[in-house]
Amino acid sequence: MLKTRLQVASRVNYDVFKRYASWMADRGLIALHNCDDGHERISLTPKGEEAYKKLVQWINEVIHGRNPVE
Amino acid sequence: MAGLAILPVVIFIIAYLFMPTDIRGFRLMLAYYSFILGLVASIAITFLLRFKLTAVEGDSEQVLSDLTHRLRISGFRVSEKPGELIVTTSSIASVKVKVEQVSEKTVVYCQSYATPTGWSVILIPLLFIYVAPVAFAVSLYLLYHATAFAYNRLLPRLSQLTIPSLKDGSRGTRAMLIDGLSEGRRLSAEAYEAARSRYHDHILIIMTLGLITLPFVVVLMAEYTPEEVFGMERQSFSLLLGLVVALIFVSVAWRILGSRTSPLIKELRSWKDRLELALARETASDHPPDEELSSFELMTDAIREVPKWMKIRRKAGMFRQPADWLLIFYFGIFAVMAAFVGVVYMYQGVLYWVFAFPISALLTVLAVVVYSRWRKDTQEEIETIVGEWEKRHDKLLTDMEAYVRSV
Repeated sequence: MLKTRLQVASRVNYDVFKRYASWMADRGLIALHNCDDGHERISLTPKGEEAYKKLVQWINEVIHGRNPVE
Repeated sequence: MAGLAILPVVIFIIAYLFMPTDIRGFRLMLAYYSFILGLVASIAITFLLRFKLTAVEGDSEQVLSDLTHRLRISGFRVSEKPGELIVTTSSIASVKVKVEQVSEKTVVYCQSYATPTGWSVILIPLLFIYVAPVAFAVSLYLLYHATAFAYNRLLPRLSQLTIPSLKDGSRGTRAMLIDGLSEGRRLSAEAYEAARSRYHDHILIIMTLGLITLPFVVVLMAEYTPEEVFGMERQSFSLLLGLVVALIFVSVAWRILGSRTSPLIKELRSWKDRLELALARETASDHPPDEELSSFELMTDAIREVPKWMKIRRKAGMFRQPADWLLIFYFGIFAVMAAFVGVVYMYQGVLYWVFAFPISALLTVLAVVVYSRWRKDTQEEIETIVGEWEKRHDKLLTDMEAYVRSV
């Protein structure tokens, strides 16, 4: 996904977005790619996908009236 | 189903034939009450009747989970309990699906069930004894509807292949998002329906009060106005004034109720629509536009609203607990009538009508006792549900924070 597009979608200012992106990249949750067209793109790493899945699963458990499973 | 439809008539005929002839005077009346009893028994049977739909290969939990997922993708509202599902199929009808593990196979059973509105449609005619056959007709319709739904909608979904356990992260996450959005939509839609139902209950109370106001004003005016007012006879003037006062009361009360209730109903409808749209988008593997929240964000936002939705669902009493509210209604109306009749006769000098006041007071106390008990029970239920939910929510936040720190 285009970095600028993700920043618009996340509705935070560019500095804050950069801080979050760098925090996530440091922990291996996302990967930043410089593309040939000059744009920077962001993708989820397998670890990031796993983290996202875990968060969705917890929320899902709570909505269904069950305690989140660790 | 045809056998069930004639069961009350059979009970009626048997009761009539076997009733002793020495109570001939009461024979028809007793037989009629047997008919009503037959109706109640037949209604109970329509909801207790459990029919076997099919037997499929595989583990019962997996079968139920696959069926839930497929129904949710198709847009049905499904609530889960251990070993069973309740699928809402229309505003009054639901179907209960139960599974049983028999060796290698899972046997699927279905039962007719009703939504809260459906239960009201059945219970209210039952309480007004002479229209009880309407309740039986509705319960037969629900049974027919449940059978048709089971064979036309459930059976094809049960004959599909098992959904493989998904190892690919994104697809598994999407399935969970669909489940979460569907459950959120169910809760918000039920809260929305409960709020609307409560609004309509209040309108009914306002109309009833308006109807009570009318004869009060007419009688009071008839007593205190001269023979002729503005060229009109006393009775016509009293009736006109009574109508005007009742209409003003109803329209003002309705307007106040609307201004207080509309924002909440609009908010609940907006949540229901947003979750429905997100669910449709997620099942179509589509993405929201940039300016809209993602499914994940919408779910995290919805989670904060859940206790409020639960409270609204519980508070919508009246026709969701018709027995208590009918008692309150009758005690209240007879209390007012007793007091009114007492005042009128005492005013005319018939002093022994003073006994109407203690009767009115007793009925008022009974109405207050039933109302207080209903309120206390409801409040306790709300506190328990919300307390449990808050515990789960706190655990979720703690786990998430701990996880994020550990990454």
